[in-house]
Amino acid sequence: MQSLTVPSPGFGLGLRPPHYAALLEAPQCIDWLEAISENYLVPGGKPLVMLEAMRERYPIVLHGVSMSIGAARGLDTRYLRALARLAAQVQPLWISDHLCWSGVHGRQLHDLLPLPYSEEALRVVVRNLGQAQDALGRRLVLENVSSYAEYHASTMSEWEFLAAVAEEADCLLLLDVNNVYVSSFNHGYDAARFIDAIPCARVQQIHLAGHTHHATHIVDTHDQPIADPVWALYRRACLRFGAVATLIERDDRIPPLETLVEELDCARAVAAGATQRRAA
Amino acid sequence: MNATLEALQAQFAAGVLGAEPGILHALHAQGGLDAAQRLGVYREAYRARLADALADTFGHTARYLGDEAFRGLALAYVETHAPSAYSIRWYGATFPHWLRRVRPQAVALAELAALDWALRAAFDSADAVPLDSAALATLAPEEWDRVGFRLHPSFRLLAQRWNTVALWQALEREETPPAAQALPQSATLAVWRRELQPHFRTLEADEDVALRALRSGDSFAALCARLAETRAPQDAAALAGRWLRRWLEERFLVGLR
Repeated sequence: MQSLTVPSPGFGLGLRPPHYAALLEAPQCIDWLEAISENYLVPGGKPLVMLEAMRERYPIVLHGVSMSIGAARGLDTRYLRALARLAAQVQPLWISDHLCWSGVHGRQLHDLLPLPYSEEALRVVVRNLGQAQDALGRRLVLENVSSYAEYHASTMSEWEFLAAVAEEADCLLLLDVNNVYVSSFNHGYDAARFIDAIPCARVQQIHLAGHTHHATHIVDTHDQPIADPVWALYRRACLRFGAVATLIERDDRIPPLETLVEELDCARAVAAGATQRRAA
Repeated sequence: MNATLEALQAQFAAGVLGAEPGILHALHAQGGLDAAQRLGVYREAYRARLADALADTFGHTARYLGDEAFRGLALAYVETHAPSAYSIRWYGATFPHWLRRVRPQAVALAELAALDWALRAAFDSADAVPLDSAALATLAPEEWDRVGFRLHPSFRLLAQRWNTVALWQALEREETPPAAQALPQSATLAVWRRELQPHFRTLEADEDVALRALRSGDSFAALCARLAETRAPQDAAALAGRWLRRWLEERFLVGLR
């Protein structure tokens, strides 16, 4: 059977402007880069020149934050067209966005807002994914988000919802292990159950990131190193999914590139250990 | 078909944007946090993200006011200005105008913010290949009678009534800016991108009129004729020639028309 996913390019980092100079100066021990689509959905100038320069050096994945795949009113076709044009230029390995919504009635909240896990929301997401995948001419890779609120309207768990979306829309998944951990703490469920329920054949990518613990809840801040429980969950994911493309995100208090490459080496070591164990 | 989800999303957005409590009944209270505290995480994140975006786009304005004072103004703006563009990059287009209204006594503030916005717009506006002066050398004399020029897509003109440029330059060097002062005569600033870098320059008297005429499609000959209305013909020609060389050198121009 032909695999649904693109072969793993290995271990990558989120492309952030403070690292442009270091990435251009010398080859780095990074296998691929993930660019935030919206940062490059601009008419011209330095961002697009930089992205082209990175593309000459590294395989690129486009990761969006504005598709709002769960919007009840449907998708913004201008956004889809702009993203399709960018993808035609960049030729990314794949395109990802989040299982969430971010605006309603013309207002954009610029956040990854939670959906109820209901039949109605499932129908909306599957319909919108069909539209997005047609516009982009490829399967979309969908990421689970960190959430801080859950609705009474939910009739299934987040992992059941995610798995149903992936099967019904025939899309791929970006499993954010930190988001699983954050949401499991915030909503009091067992993170391992989430990992174990994800359909292996559809996992294209894994995200790792740091968070901020506020005792009563955890916020997905991407401003510090990956926490120990997230590493443990990553190991579990590697045991279950095998060699999946892994990427570290850092969006605030961004350290020098070499610090993130060291963290990426930790991910390489965890994945290698798990792969050996799978083979044994 | 999606009436319930749409209503839920509208209610959630109203809870984040305003203080509408309607959504709270739809949310679980779990662990140590009740529904209001859970919505509060989103309310806070929304405001912080937009205020951060404004501080980034209006960097010199923020430095001028100080971080805390800027944050207060940014949060006040956020309360009354929900974003509508899909990218946060475009948030704050009306911030300079809003500053003029809410801080009329801080005279140079709105101009400084307008300069920050224009430089950001120049940074990622559309690309165009600069006009090569060699292209002019091949023009026949009769072609000079009707030829005009296209300006770089990033090109903007900003009216200046205050010493905003001096303030911006001091803030750029991280020095204490001079006191805000009215200029003896109002001026026009050109803002544009050269290669990958945004630039600005205060235009000479009448140079702004000439550039506006070019932008609206006037020929170079018409521009020379207008200069000759208030000057000797040879002075008008010399001035137009000098400006044209400078505009080419500074990469204002990207094509003939």
